[in-house]
Amino acid sequence: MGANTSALLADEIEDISRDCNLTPAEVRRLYKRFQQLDRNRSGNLQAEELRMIPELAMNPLMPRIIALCDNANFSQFVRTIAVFGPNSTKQAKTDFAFRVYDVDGDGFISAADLTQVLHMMVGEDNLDEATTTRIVQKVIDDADTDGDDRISRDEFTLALDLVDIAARMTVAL
Amino acid sequence: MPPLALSRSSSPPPCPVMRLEDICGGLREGIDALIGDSLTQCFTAEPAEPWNFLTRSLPPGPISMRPYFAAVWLAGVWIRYTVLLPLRLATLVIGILGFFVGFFVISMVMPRRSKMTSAANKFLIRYLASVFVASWSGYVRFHGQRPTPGVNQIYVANHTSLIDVFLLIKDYPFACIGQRHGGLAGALQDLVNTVQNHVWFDREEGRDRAAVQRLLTAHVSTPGNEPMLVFPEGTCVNNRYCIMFKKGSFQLGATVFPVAIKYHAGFADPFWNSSVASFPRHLLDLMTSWAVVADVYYLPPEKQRPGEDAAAFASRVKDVIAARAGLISVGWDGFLKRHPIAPRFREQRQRATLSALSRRAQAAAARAPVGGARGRPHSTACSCRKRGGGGGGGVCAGHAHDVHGVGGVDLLRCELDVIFLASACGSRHTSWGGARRGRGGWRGRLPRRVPLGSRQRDWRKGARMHGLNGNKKSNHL
Repeated sequence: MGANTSALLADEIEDISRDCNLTPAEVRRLYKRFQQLDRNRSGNLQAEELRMIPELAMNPLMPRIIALCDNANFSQFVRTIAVFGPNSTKQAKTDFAFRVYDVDGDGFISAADLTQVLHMMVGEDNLDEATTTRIVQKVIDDADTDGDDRISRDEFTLALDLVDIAARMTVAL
Repeated sequence: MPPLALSRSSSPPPCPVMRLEDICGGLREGIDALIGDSLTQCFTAEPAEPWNFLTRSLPPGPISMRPYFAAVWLAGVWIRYTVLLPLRLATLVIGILGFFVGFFVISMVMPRRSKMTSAANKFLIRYLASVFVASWSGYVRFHGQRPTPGVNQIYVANHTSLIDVFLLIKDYPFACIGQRHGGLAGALQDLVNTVQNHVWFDREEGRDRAAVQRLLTAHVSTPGNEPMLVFPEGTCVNNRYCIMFKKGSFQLGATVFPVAIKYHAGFADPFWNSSVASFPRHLLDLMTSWAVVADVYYLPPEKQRPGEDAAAFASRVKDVIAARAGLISVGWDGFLKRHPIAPRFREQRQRATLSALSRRAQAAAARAPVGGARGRPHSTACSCRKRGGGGGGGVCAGHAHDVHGVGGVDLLRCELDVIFLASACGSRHTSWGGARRGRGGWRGRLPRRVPLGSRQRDWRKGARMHGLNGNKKSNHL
């Protein structure tokens, strides 16, 4: 196991560490981790493999995180994690958060997207429909500046401008 | 705070407030779990650090070795495979033949069911265990009070590999309970069963906890049976962590004798990762390593305290063992090694998140008209941290955190992060927080009861001393 993987990595390791602003040691460590997670050694992370991490399976946002990592190969896996690295920019972190909210991937956070994320966070059965609508509408009203009843990427960035994203979305690698 | 409570109960609960940044904490925690989780840590074998010529195999990845070291290491490989391995195989074969001869003689010559036969059988079983231990050049130091026969006692130990059983039986002929294995491990189980009462249950039966519990109770309460040895973790852990003890063996009303087993991974990696290596393969790995070196501590007996439930008792005993063996105690259930966690843990945290969102609204509402005048509006919000999904009504019992003075909203922002960070599994978030990976790899920032490095150093000193003085006093048999 050890020999062939290290050969594969030798070329990639430098590229990835340069692209993602990580040290080679961090990339190697993440590779080791990737191999642990990739239980069937397919080279990609499947949703079932990710769900086996109990700390992730307990996370209310688990479906979105898994959706963003589903079938990721090593390089995509590192790129996702690098967003949360200390060297990543605030813009990259904000964009990632935007992608989490943008469930249907159309480039806008609509009321439907927000409802889905809200349901994930608090449990669908714990909120009635009227309250959900009120909560979601409030969020959209607060962030929507051009009045199209959805949040664009720019509006999202603006809304999070005063939030200390850099600190709150950074993990130790 | 009666006025506040009154004003809240008279008005309808305000609508929970969500903010776009509320996902940050959850995302951070999710990514953190992707980078490393404390469960996988328990079942990962790692090459001993620092890497040295005693190490069995080279670590994966590019390595640089100075020619001198490379030569020494290769000489070591040569010795292990061409000198040690044949010797050990011979020991094993001759030893097992000896066992069969002894077994045959006893069953032919000695009367059945006599005291002498049983004593002879026990000697034989210890002899067999010693043969196996010798086949890995096992060196075991036993500390503490050696077990004595008696009714209503049960020995519990941490579990690293099936070889734990040999180590302990070499010292004392315990009766064992465990899952029936197939293949070589299964054959060994049958073998030891011919001379002594062990309890092996099938996988199917294992699901039926009541059945196992009955077997255990029957064995423990029967006079004349050897004390039962149980590994309550239920699965092999890598000897750096200690996972949850299942409570079955702690609710028999028997006196529990904790046994802590600590291997010194420098000479051989004793962890049997059954999903990676079969049992014969694991034995072969051990036989081509330098030695299996372990300390076994028999700890003072523990009894269930009045008012203590079985789970709390189990966890107390676990902590005693973990502290003695220098293992990190975590709360995971060994079941999670192969199965995903139950959805209820996620639901629990969803409810906690909801109540945090609701409290944010309550705090905002309370702050505006009446609560603001009282000066401590967010005390209501504060209570929920302790009560989880309680939803309010509690009184702040003096939590001191600095956000108190700033305002309810900031506090809640903080609190949401806390909810995300807090894991339902209890032990993890108190001891780990988010940071796990120090500069020196995974081990860097781990909290430990006993600093592992220093223990290893201490121990190495001990080993040298042993080599010089030939101090074998502590080694029975």
